[in-house]
Parts: sequence; C-alpha cells; structure tokens
Amino acid sequence: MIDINRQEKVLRIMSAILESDTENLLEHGFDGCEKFDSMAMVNIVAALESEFDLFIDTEDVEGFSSPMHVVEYIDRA
Amino acid sequence: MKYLEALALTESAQNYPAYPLRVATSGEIAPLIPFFSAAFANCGYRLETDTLPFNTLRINLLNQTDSAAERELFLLFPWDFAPALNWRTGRSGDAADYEAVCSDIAAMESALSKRRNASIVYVPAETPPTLPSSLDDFRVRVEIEIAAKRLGAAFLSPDDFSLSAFLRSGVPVSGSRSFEVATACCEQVLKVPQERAKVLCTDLDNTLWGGVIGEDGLEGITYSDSGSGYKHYIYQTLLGRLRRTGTLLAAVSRNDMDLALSPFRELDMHLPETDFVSVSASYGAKSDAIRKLAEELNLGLDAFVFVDDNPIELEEVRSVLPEVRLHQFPQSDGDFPGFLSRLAAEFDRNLEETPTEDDFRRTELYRARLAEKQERETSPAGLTDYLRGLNMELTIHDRSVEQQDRAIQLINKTNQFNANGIRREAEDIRSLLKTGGRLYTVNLEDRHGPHGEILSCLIDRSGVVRSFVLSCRVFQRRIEYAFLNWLTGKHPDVSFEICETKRNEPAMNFFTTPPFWSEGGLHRIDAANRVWRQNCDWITVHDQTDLS
Repeated sequence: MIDINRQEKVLRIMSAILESDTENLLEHGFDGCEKFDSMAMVNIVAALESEFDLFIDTEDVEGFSSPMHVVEYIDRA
Repeated sequence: MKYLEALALTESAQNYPAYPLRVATSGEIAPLIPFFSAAFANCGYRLETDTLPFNTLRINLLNQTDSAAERELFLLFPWDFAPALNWRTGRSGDAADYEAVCSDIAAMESALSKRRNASIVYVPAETPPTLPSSLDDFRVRVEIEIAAKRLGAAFLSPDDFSLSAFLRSGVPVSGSRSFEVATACCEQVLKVPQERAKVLCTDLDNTLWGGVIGEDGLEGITYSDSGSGYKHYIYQTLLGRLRRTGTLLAAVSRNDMDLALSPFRELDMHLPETDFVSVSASYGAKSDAIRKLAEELNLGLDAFVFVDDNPIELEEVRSVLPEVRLHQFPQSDGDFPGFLSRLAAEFDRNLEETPTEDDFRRTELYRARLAEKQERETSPAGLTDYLRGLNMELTIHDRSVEQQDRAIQLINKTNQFNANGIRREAEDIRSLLKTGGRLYTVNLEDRHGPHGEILSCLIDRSGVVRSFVLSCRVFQRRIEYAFLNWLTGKHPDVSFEICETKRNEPAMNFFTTPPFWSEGGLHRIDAANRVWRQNCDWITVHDQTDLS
C-alpha cells in the first residue's frame, strides 16, 4: 500500500521541477513533460534525497522510467 | 530544510527585494538553487541567480581579466584550484607534477583575487591520491587551503562534499546538506566586511599577567615563561608580535593607576610600558575608557578588539559598544590555543603584509600624538597659536617610481580622511603610474619628532586625483591645506574624484565646501579663491619631488 502522504510529496516535487501538473504526470508519465531530460532527473533525485533524507543509487535512478516508478521507490525506501 | 519547505519559503519571497547573484561552481549547481533561494528568502531577499555551465568555472575565470560588475559567489572545491585533483575528470595514468599543480593553484588564486565583487566559500573535500607521494598530496591540499584563506574564503566542513552525488551526477553536495551549504554561502555573501582591527585593548589582572596586582602584589603575580605564568607570557609574546606589525596595544584595567603600572615599572615583563599606546586604570566602566581612547586616537570603535577574563566586563562593553570585537581570556588551558588563533586572526592582514617602517613605529607615533593632544588641551593659547608652535615641516615626495609601499598602504587603510574610500591594488596603481600618473606622499616632522609618511595622493595623467588620503593621526593640523597649496601650483587644473562613504565625513566636509565645487562628476578648486592659504602659512613645505 502506497503511503499517500509520501506519494503526494513525490508528485509535488516532480510537478515543481518538470513544471507539469500532477494529473498530467500520472496520466502521461515523463513523456508528457516537455521539461523532462537528464538534468531534470538530476534535480528530481537531489530534491527527493533532501525531502526524504536518503541517498539514491545510480542504478536505481536508471530504473526511474515513470513517475509511478519513482513513487513506488520512495515508498519502499 | 527539506526541498518542499525550501520551495514554499522561496514562493513566499516573491515580493522581497531582488538580489542578483552569479553562483559559480565547477559542479552541477542546479539542484542547489532552490536551497539558495530559500536561504536568501530567510534573509529577506528574492534571489535572482545566474550560473555557469557544468565544469566551465576555471576556464571562465582564467579567460576573464575584468572583474564582473555583479555580485558573485564562488563555491569552490580543491579541484577548482588544481584540476588534477578532480574525482571525475582529473585522474590520468601518471602521477601529477607537484610544481605544475602548484602553478595551477597560483593561477586560480590570482584570477580569483581580481574578482572584487566576489564572495568565496571553500569546501576542503577529500581528494584522490594524485601526486607522486602522500606527502605531496598533503602539501597540495595545504597550499590550496592557504590560497583560500588568503582570498578570505569561508571554510565549510569536508563532509559538505558528497562523493556519491558528485560521481553520480556532478552535484558536489548531497541533498541532505544542501540547505546548510546554501545558508553558509548566503551568510558569506551578505556578510558586512569588517574593518581591519587596529587596536587591541587588554585587561591586565588575570589576563596580561596571572593574579590580581591589588591583592597578590608584585611578588604574587605570574608572567614569565615558567609555571602558571606561561600562558600569560605566551599572550604577551603574541601582543608584542602584533605591535611590531602595526597593531596598537592599550591596557584597560579596573585598578589604581600606580598599581596598574607597577608591574611594567618594577618587574621584567615581556611587554614594556612603552609597547602600549595607553594604559588606562580607573574604577569606571571599561566601555568609557575604550570610547575615550577611540576619540583620542581618532579611530572608529570597529577597529577595536577587547580582551578580558571577566565575562561581566565583556558584557558591559558589548552592551555599550557593540562595534567592539570581544575575546574572553580563557580560564582553562584547553581553550587557550583556540583563543590565541582567533585573536591573531583578527589582525591577520597586518601579519601577512610586509610591515612598513611606520608600522614598526606606530605605537611611538600615537603616543606622541596623545601627548601632544594633552598638551594642546592644556595650552592657554588658541589652536592656531598651538599649531604655529609645533614648527611643522612637510616634505613632499614623488613615489611614482619606487618606495610606494607606505603610499599604497595609506590608500588602502585610511577611512576617515579618504576622498572616495576606493581601495586600490598595487598593480592597478602601477598601471596608472605607467600611463603618466603621479603618486605623491608627504612626510611630517614637528618639534615632537618625525611622524612618517602621513598623506598619499594618486593623480592620473589628466590631472584627476583618484586617491587622496590623510592619516587620522594628524587631523586638524591643516596639512591638507598646505599640501593642496603645493599641488595646485604643480597641477593648476587638478580635479578630484570624491565619493561619500560611511566613514569619510572629515574628507567630505573638506572637499564639498568652497573653494571646491562640483562639475561633471568631479570636484574642482576655485583657483581665484584659495582661501585656505591663510589657514596654513605656519607650515613649511619642502618640495623633494624632483629628487625622489
């Protein structure tokens, strides 16, 4: 069961960095965001580490293929 | 602070005044920007940042000769000084050459020293083994830290660097440390530069010596290099070193004067009484004594450092004179090394610069000034008669070619009688002189003896005085009038670059009243109305400019 509070925070972070609303994120994934590129992912990872006080491995970052993958990863972390 | 909090704080600062800042670092800085914005929002500003592309810091700096006009923050790591030390890009199969690495460090230091609007923060991160031996690696790290210190950098913890984040994405700081690093950077940018400390006021009992002279007597106090006096002896040696490089020492004691002076006069103290510009002993507030001394020496209170063992005395001074920097003489030996380091650091620049002859004689010169002031105050005649009686003689030198150290020091240290407050690098002054400018200085001698070089005047080839400073030791003697009489004879069309600063009221009062008038951003002199001649006809001027 995904922690709603954590999910909301993750989505808010991605939404702020990708300048996309969360509905669009959930519906279209990263492909639906014009701002998504490797730099955006660097910013997202740094923001998640700050928000949840953790370190995310390079291998895990490579597995972040959609917003929900990120939500699930943070929920497990 | 977490990311979303930082974002919320930044959003709340939308109506704050803008603070444009270039944030320059060689790593990937973008993930840190929200935290920088939050840190500035905490201080009441809306940050407007400009950043450099990844890994372009060094090439940007080395290829730019002009200092950027805007405020800049440099967040630096060891590899910014020596690229061979970079975890990501620096390593090759061969060991780096020590001399080449040192040359890289020097080039970076030189480039950074030219950035006048820069604030520097240094993270002494671990570096990979790169040089032929671990000793060389160590020496290089020390060289870099020395360069960063010389540049006035604020030092963060080595732990503020995250190797994992750096290797993963080029971001040098981990997410969990981002706000702390951003806050330290913000503090460094917004820090008000402190005036250089010039005067060290010290308590006597349990500070300059161990024990209380009024209770323990001469035989009961400790001050020598053995036993319980050792700490006080070491403290005295530091004060002696500071005095020899131009710091003025003053003693402020809660005592009777004869008691306060007795150890100097009857014991073999490391510091003699003549090393002190003033010894003040009374039962009044120490803040009163310090304020009076500041007035007598004509120095701002922010040039004063006060050392006392008693926290109540320190608090009294802090509450009345918040500008004065305070240090408590430690009770425990464990705190003593840190105390000495912090105290010495207050006068760091004095120690790093090559002392001039005037630095060595500064205490003597100020003691003469105080004696003369007391004499003047008790003189039955008026000020003019008193000044006439001083038999002042000015000797004007042209320092355009050599012997420029004191002239440059005066330009960069004088606050009050400084026409515009502009600090000038020696290199810039020499460039101006090479294109036909002149640098004049004035030596003063009176019946009390020589006062050294007390005035410096830098004039460019078009006759604009770019710097005009007069030592605060010799205010109110009308020396500026006598010098300008001479200067207008030598350069009839002279004009002055004048600018008000927080501290140059005496100069502004002089340059903004007739016969000066303002035209086209410069101040000129009404040559037909040189009313000041009558104000200084008792001063003899010797023109040595053709002989200099």
